[in-house]
Amino acid sequence: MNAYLLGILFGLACFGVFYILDRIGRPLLRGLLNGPLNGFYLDYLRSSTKYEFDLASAANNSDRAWSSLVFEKVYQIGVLGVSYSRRERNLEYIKAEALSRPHFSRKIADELIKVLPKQYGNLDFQKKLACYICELLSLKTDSSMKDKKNKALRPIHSVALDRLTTAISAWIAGALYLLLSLYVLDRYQPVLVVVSSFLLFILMVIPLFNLVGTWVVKITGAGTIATSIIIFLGVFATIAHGRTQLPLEVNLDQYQNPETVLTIRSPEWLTMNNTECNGKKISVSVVGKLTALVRFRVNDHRFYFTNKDCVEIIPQIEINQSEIQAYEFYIASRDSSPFFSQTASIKIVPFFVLNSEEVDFNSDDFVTMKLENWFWNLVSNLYIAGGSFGCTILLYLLNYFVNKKRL
Amino acid sequence: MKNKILWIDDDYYTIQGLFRPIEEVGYKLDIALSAFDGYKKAQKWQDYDLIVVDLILPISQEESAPEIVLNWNNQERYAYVGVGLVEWLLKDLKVNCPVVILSVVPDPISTFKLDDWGITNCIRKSGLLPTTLKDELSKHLNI
Repeated sequence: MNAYLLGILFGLACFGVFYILDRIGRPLLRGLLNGPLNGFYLDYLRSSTKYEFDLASAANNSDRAWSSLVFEKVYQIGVLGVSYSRRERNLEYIKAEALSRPHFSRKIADELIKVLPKQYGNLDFQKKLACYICELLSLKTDSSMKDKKNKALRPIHSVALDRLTTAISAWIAGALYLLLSLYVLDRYQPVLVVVSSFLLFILMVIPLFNLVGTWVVKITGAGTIATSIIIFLGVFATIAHGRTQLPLEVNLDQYQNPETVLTIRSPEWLTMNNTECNGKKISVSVVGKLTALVRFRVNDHRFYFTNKDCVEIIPQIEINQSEIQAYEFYIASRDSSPFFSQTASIKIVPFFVLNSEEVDFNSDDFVTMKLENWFWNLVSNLYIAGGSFGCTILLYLLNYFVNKKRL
Repeated sequence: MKNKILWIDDDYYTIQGLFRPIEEVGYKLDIALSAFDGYKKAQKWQDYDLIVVDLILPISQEESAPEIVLNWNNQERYAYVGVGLVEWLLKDLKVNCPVVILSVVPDPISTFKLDDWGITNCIRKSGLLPTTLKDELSKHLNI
């Protein structure tokens, strides 16, 4: 498959995952944390509030510092394992604090409405809470209060850690996206990998992405789109660049024809078009150009071609050993991927045999070449990781300037 | 100089940064996370330069507490548990060190008519910054 098309696909996948995280993943995880994992959730709430409080205090943003504590109390009211005496205390705290923060009354009411249905264990408290919500909603807020609220909700920029968190989140997200994309192409069970990567992503990234609305990292709206675009560009650039522009030169001096240098511009990728598992015909195309006769083995099927871009072969053909001249590739073949319709990608590990010798898969040659290929893969992956890191820096800068402008 | 402050507040973990400037000048904090915990630690009030009390407090984090502490939860008598604790500190225990209320509750002294209890200071938590707290407490400490 064309590398640019891959970039586009994975860029779209990035955006899709962001969207899913925003709409489904976050509420799902919040539900989990509110239920079976509430101890963890309470610890997380407390830690994130402390973090928020310290950041805001350091930035002399007292309004934000103390409002974070109010919202921690609100969220605690909705957590399953919290006793009702504690919920009562939290409500007292919220009432006292809301008196000095009328500009937050609407938001506090909104959050309390969310936790109201969870008070089924104590109907008296539920009534008390409902009454208080009505009281809050009846408060009038004027425009100056809204300004005050908006000001309090602004991200803190005087503390580098805040932005660093954003960068780390994006970095983890970007790296996982890249891993996802690589695994989807390289493994037999892409669905499994997609699901596990998605779960891993949720576990690692969501806590950093404003999970409970404490504004530790605020990336919403335009910021989310910008993030998606940047990651999309990163994936696009790194895949396209890393896959097509990184040459692997294999010097065959020690083999039969010392003058022949086989250059494969994209050594890992071949594409099989019109693949049919039970069909009669398989066409193989090579990205780049081969300058020598190459023999392939796909599972039990062998075939070969010379310096052509595409040849057609018939499966189960037995190539006459005398036709083998110098080089042979072992192809770590895979089933055709349902992800890419009729097209499958095959990872190949090149190795060489002398003349027409049969391939001994346990031979030192094979191991050596496999290691060499592993090395180049590593180089390639590091290259991609570098690209991703570059994207993270871009995201960091964009986030900084966008938020600076908002201030 | 004892250089020690007793701070009775269940939100200690989250807002401990408030006391950072005071800790930086050499004061150590002794923390009580409940009224009962504060009750126990305040028995040795001579060890402290200052006692800081929150008003919205849990009675106890343990299973049981003495009757006197449980009474502080009587809402007909005390609007908040911390009010009972402060009364006990000043009227029963008769502590001879400054007692400061640090709470989100607005103006508790006039609201609950605590004028004659001898409360040293009442600081509103809401909107409080560490530097402001230091300025407030420095009036009662040798800073």
